[in-house]
Amino acid sequence: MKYEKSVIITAQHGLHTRPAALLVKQAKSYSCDIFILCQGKQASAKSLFKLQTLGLYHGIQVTVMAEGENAQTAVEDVSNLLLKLS
Amino acid sequence: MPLSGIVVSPGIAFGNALHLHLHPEKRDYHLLPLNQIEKEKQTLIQVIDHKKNQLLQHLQRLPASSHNYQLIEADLLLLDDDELIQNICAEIERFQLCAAVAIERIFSYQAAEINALDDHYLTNRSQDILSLASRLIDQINGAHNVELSKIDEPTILLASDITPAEFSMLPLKYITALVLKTGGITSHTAILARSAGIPALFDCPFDQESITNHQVLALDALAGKLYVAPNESILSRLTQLKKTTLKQKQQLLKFKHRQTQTIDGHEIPLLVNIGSINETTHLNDMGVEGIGLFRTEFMLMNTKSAPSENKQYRLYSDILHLLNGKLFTIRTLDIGAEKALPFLNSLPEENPALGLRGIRYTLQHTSLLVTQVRAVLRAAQYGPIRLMFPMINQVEELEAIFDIINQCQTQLTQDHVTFGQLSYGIVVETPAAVMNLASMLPKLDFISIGTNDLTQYAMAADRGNPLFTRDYPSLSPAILSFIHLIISTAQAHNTQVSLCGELASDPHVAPLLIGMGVNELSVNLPAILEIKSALSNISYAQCHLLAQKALSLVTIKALHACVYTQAT
Repeated sequence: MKYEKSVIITAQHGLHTRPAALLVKQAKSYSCDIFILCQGKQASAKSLFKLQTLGLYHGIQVTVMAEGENAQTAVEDVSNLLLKLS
Repeated sequence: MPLSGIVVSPGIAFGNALHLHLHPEKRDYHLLPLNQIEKEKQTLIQVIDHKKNQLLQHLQRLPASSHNYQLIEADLLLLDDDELIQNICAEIERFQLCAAVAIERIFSYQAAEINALDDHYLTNRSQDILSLASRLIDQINGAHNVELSKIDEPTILLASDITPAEFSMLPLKYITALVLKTGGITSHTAILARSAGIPALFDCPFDQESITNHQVLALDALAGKLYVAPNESILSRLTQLKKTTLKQKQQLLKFKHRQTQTIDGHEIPLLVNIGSINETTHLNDMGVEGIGLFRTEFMLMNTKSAPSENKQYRLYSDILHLLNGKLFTIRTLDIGAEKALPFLNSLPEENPALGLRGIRYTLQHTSLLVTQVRAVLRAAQYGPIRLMFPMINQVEELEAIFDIINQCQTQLTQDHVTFGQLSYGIVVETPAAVMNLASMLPKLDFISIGTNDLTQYAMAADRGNPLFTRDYPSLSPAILSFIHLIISTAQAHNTQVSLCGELASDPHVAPLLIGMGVNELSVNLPAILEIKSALSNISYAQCHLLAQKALSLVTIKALHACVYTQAT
């Protein structure tokens, strides 16, 4: 199954290395594929390398999308984390 | 067979070998044969696995709350990325590249992509990516970055080159000697090694493969020989030699508190060149007349930001206090060239020695100069300070500086901040300054001849390039003529001439310089007693005779025969 949700990046300096690393760690705990979509670009939430090229600034809107087992839980958890990261 | 090189800091040393950069960077840009592609992919996977393990081990030794922990964890996550490995493998396959080049390319694309984002905070991450790439490539090339803090035995450090900034991070307690493949006697690292009293051999063509880490080495940095796995007879000879030199040094100790004077009582102001705050602690037991050159840029080298006015003011005031009325000569920041500071984002220049350095730099970045001048002016109320400017070519630069100094004084007065008066001078170190000297002298209280850079610019020869350091020694007829011309011009204007280059620290050359009319010498700390001893053995009249003779000689060979056979 496929599930997606939009959230706004609230981290003060955007998703730089440390918050992005936390996100990747979280995403890796799910077996389903998780993607972050932002301004026409897309990256696997499990790849810190790719994630950094998205330009996840403070205040920007992104879509968290997952496909596969527990997709909904994964998206909800990742979105919640994104909102919590400072 | 011992290896030979140029002695840039004399002494005898024993220790275990340690390569600082085990292999130079190498990349193979050739197309890989198709049958090697699989092997190259395996190499890549192994290297990344190995780096991951290394990072993991490192991580386990750190507290989870530390900043380093989070950075290392981020590196680990970057590498723990199947997509990344797939991308690099695809690059290897598609372009038939070796793993190192494929890593270089993929990571550079990535860094460029991040750089293109218009968020300063995020674009900084591209540096992390490039740094990780170069560590991976080092791993492929078999280079091991030495952890300097782990050195705990007498060590002779081997490297192809060491920058002044790297030198200042060495644990000098355990480093008994330094052997470099490149470098010349007047490079800044050589000056630092001499100041620290660390024996050093430069321009020594050692073979990285034939000397392994921890192999026993003996360095005779008097004769310029490096012995690998020396036998008993060499060891005992060098141990004896070390004892003898130590004894000679002890005999020199009687000069510690003596005035510097010739045998017939002509007093010569002897000052010292200072490149670090640590060196100032020895000032009072050397019997010198003060500091003749305070290299302010070295105190900034391992900091993350330019020091504030108050910080500099406190430092200069402390040193004046220590000097207790003796002269304090401060050279304004001489940055640029090889002495790049980590916190200055200078643009790369094709030819930094001829680029934005010395006063050129500070006149374009006046806030650095203003901060320094204000700190110096404020400190000057506690003792005599001479302020001098590096890399001056012409009177226009002096006018610009004095405008800035006037503005600083006006501002300080308006702010009701007290300050003192300074004497002003320049470092004469370019041929243009020599030619323009007469027009600048009316504005100056003294000049100081910087023979190291003067030689480099007069000869148009890079002072760090080992290919010709032997052909252009510091003492040559051309340089003596320059010094002679400078002195005659200064004498016509009744201006004091100091000499702060490496030539002054050579006990054979010091009497010659005095004979030529140099008024004061500024030398490196370890050379002080030797210079005092050399001058105490010769009369003032003999110095003049030596100068007359030396100035008449037109070849390096004849000049060296004349100067270096003088009894000192």
